[in-house]
Amino acid sequence: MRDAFSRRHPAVNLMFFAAAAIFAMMFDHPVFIGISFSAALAYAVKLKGKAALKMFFCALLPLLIFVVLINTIFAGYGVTVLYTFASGKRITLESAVCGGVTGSLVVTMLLWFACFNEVVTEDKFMYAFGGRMPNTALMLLMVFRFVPLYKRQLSETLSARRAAGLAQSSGRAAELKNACAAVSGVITRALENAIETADSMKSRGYGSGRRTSYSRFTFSPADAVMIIEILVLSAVIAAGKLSGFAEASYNPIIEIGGFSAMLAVSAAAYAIFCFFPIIYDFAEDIRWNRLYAKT
Amino acid sequence: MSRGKAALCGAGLTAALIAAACIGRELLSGSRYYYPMAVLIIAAACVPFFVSFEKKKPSARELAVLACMTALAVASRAAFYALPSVKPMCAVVIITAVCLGPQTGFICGVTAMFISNFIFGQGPWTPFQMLGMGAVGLAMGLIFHNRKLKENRWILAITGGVLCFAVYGIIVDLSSVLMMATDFSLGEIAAIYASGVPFNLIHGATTAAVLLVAGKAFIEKLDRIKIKYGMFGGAG
Repeated sequence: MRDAFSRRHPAVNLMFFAAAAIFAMMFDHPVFIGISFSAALAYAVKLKGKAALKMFFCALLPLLIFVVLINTIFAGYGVTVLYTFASGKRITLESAVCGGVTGSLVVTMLLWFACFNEVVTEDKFMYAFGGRMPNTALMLLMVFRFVPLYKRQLSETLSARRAAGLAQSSGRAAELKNACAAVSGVITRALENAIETADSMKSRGYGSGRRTSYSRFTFSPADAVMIIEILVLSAVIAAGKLSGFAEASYNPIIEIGGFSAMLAVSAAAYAIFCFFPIIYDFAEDIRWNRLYAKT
Repeated sequence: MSRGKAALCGAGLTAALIAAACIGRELLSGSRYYYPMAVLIIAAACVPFFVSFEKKKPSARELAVLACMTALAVASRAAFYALPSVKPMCAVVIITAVCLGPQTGFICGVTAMFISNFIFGQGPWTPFQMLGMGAVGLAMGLIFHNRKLKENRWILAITGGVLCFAVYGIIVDLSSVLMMATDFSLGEIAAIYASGVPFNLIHGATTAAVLLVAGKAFIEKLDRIKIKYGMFGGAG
């Protein structure tokens, strides 16, 4: 089942992910990177289950190691020399740490995208952007419809060929030849079909006026409240960033901002923001169970 | 809105996006902001094509055939889900560009990449893949559209494969450089590009092979439809 945050209005979803991506890119401070990373990983696991963990260990960790290696070997800055090659090339602590930070940022970003792919589905995207560009939106919509149609037509064609006795010879080459003939048939059929679709569109009034579009999303007061919550949290986080308490730099020397009240407030706001979808889902669960217990 | 006015709006939007990227580059220090600036410039590059696509009011048939070719491109990428880089998608985009023109090829490439990423997963690489595929379509359209040259399948396959390897590869791997590099030294950039070369080679070779084997037949199919129904400047 989809979680409570995914069921909210597309505007809320898009706004959350846009803000999460921008903040993930802005902060260098290890505390903030850690918060965003753990929230993204937790939400990805919640949405995708084991597949998210598999993605993390099989794809993202190797990527992180790759980024650290690339930067350690090829970046030339830093003052703490760990090793000097005979050629005079130096390996420095700073470039390794900076690679680690950049790598974690990339991994965090990819985890947020993994969540984005689960939450913002095609229909939500079409709803959010369809109104501005009617021709493009219509074309995208037709493509979304054609892809599964062609897949079905291909399997139809293949089984028709089998039934007609055209696919009986075995062997790799014969199979490939059969598949090519089927694909060729599907392409011809698809093109002719497109013309038929177009004529049908035209006779139903395509191009005679403004296109309207149906949507099953309604913007409720609860969505407005969520947008306000996201905006307020973003303001607190941005204030923390602009005040300069959450700064850290790794090039050419490592400097990390120490503890301060402003840092704590900003980090707390950031934690609430990043874990927002999980907290919201949890709160909805509690509400549901309470209502359920009453009956 | 008249076409002249639309063109003016499009040009204004493009200029504004590029200006925003330049100003952002000045205001925000740190190499991390190269990536969002690059995305702004990619958006600026796509604006003129889509503004003219919106304002041209394509006929229902042109729209449907373009959607059909884009869907075939998406399906061809999805069919080889398990094999990374072995994707005939670029070949389908090239065939669209060669038959229907550079601008249509660009739009087909951009939208096919975008939509197929709903299957493969959107990511920070999406805008770069879109522009890369669009650029290959545009270039192939400029070289081969309405020319006798497209009937030579060797020239078509080799040019397609090389452009797919070079243009698409350079644009898409730029996203890795912008995300992963911290020093932006020549050695670092070269190392990241080098790590992408095997994937790009397979991609380019697949594209060339598909164009060589199926290109001519596919082009004939599309040209036949174009002439039969008098679309995209084909004789009616």
